[in-house]
Amino acid sequence: MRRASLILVPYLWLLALFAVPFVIVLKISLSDIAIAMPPYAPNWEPSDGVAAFREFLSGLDFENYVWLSEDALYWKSALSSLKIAVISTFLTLLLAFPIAYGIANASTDWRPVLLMLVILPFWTSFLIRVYSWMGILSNTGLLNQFLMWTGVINDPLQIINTDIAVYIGIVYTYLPFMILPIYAALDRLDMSILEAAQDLGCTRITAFWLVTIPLAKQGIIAGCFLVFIPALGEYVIPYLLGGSNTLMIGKVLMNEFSANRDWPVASAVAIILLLILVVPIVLFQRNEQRLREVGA
Amino acid sequence: MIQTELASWDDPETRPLIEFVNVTKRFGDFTAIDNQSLKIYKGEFFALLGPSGCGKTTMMRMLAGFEMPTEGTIRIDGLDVSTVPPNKRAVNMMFQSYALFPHLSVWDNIAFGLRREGKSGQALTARVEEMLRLTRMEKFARRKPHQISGGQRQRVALARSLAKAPKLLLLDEPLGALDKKLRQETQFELMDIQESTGTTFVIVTHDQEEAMTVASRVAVMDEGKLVQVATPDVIYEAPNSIYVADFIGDVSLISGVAKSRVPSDVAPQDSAGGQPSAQQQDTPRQPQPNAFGAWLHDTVFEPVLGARSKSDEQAVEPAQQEDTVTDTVRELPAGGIAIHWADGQDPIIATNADPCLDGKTVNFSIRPEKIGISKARPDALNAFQGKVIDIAYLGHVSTYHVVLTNGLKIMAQVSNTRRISRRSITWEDDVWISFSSTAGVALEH
Ligand SMILES: Nc1ncnc2c1ncn2[C@@H]1O[C@H](COP(=O)(O)OP(=O)(O)OP(=O)(O)O)[C@@H](O)[C@H]1O
Ligand SMILES: [Mg+2]
Repeated sequence: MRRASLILVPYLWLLALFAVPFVIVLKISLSDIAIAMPPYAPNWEPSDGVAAFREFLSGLDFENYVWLSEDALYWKSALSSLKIAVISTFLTLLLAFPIAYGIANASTDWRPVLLMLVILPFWTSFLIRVYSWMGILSNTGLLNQFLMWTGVINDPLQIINTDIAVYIGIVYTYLPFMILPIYAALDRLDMSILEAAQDLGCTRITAFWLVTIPLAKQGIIAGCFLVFIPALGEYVIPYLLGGSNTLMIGKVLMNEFSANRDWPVASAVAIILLLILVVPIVLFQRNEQRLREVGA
Repeated sequence: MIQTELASWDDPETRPLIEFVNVTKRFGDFTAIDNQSLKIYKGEFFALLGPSGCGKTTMMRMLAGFEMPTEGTIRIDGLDVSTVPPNKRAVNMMFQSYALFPHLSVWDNIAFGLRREGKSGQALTARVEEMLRLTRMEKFARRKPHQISGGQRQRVALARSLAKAPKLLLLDEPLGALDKKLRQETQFELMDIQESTGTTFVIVTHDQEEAMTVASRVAVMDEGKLVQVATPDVIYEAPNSIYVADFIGDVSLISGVAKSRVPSDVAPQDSAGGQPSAQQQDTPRQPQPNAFGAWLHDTVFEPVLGARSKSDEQAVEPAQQEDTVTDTVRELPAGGIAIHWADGQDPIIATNADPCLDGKTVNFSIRPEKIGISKARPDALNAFQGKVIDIAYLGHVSTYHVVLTNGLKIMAQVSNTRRISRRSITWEDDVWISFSSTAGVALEH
């Protein structure tokens, strides 16, 4: 009995914070826009009675999804989100791997310090950090001032309000999520395994490709998912650093919700985003599962 | 391991496979290997034995190429290997931790080194299958290392290091994780493999029994130094120092002052420079009294002590007869030294010791199984009185801890040919311990 109630707690938690909101959003996505409070219809209260509920159900339809599939904006923003997420995940990996490798091979005195430095940005608010990037990347920002001071360029580079700024923002923000799992995988790697590879005829470089990389694979995959999943739905970074033509599904969603006050369409976009994300999330879970099996 | 021909290490003509020449290895200001020279020959099963931290792994890592000597040279097959990286040496190492590649199957682990050599197709498959058969791992070829047992992992590590048929195979505590039975089986397997492949093995262990079992020669190390390098029987029977005697097996040490004994016309039984040969220990001997001894026996001792044949009944354990009561008082073997170890006690006679030790303080070292124990005074040259303070029953043997009249503790080991209840010696008994004049060794340091 006590065990059952213990198991119940997380399920109630999931029900209250995931299932119920999901059903509400799904319901709104099937509603129609209305100039009312709340800004959609139909609505149903338990006090209205069962007959009213049937009428309420018949008022729901997939109109908004049809609308989404007809307007190219939504397709483009979904594809552009995918593209930005894939590229920035790849860039993050390129930057994170050498850092993780360096930390894993640093002396034991230095390792905690270096790891601390990786996590340090989390001590400041995410928003403040993105705003600082605006200060760095803007036409009169630190970067341009520095480049002009050194004489590399004469006119300021247009970085802010472009996709490049979005990539910089995403790579910067999610770098720790890539470094940590890769570091964990490399740290587990026994030095004697690399020596064994050399003993059996590998040079240092072939040992790296044949042993280090395959053994860090699970960490690399985990890191990629940890960056890709939030990057796909990213809203703040493209909103603050990107330009007006940076299309991302999160930005579109926010636009529908606040500027257009079209809650039903915004909800439909949210459901679509969720469906897109289900695939990588399931794959990520599978990877974690395999990792646990191998680790055991 | 009795060598019929001249063993390679005794033959000055043989070229060694491995040569350490004045090798020193320092880590910072810590000296791990201290100016050591060593030769290991082709086809040897060479064991490095020593306590933790004495530098065994460091010796191996220098051979494999993972560490460079700070000073001195290492030659493999006559070539200085100081500039040869690990992947270019015809040496394979089996790591203490096995160091299997966790992402590869057993099959691919074994094939790893062969693929680096450029082997592929039929040749690769044949060799891998052969290694799998040798280590009886055929059934597990498709499994990953985490899916097999510790003992099986050890076999895979062995198969992987053997696959390239290296000239030299280094085994760093290869059997450390196995239970006793599996360890013994694998020891014999290793010896079989070594015989059938002709590979030279260097094995690191801190299990002295293992070293004695598998090795053609043993090097006993202490704090970066090779204290003694010799065949197992010499290490056991004729250790060159208290350290070696103490490290290998049980030993009782008696310290005293040596006096050289007047040489007589009777040659000492052991004329081979004071080292008992293995053969001597193996073949039972009947004592053959010389003319003087026979006369002494007939006229003096027989009336007092009884006929000679009766002495057999005096020692409790018949198994000990040959070794312990070989030289009776009547024989008076000459040569060697007498060790004065306690006031008012007869000196210990060691006829196999070097008379040059005269006047020096020596430690007489003797193995428990070389000491007989009896209730009545045995008819032995070295016989001393004491009291049993402890008996350790080990199944096939029992070790009696006897304290002599001056407080010195001696261990005597007796094989349990009778059941416990029928054994006549027990705690607090006054007993005699006795041993032959060649049973122990006198060590200076
Ligand atoms: N890389 C290193 N840096 C500093 N000291 C080292 C290093 N490698 C070994 N040593 C030291 O050298 C000594 C010999 O080490 P080694 O590993 O050869 O011992 P060992 O005989 O193999 O011991 P064990 O039986 O415990 O494996 C030890 O005191 C060890 O602390
Ligand atoms: Mg070691």
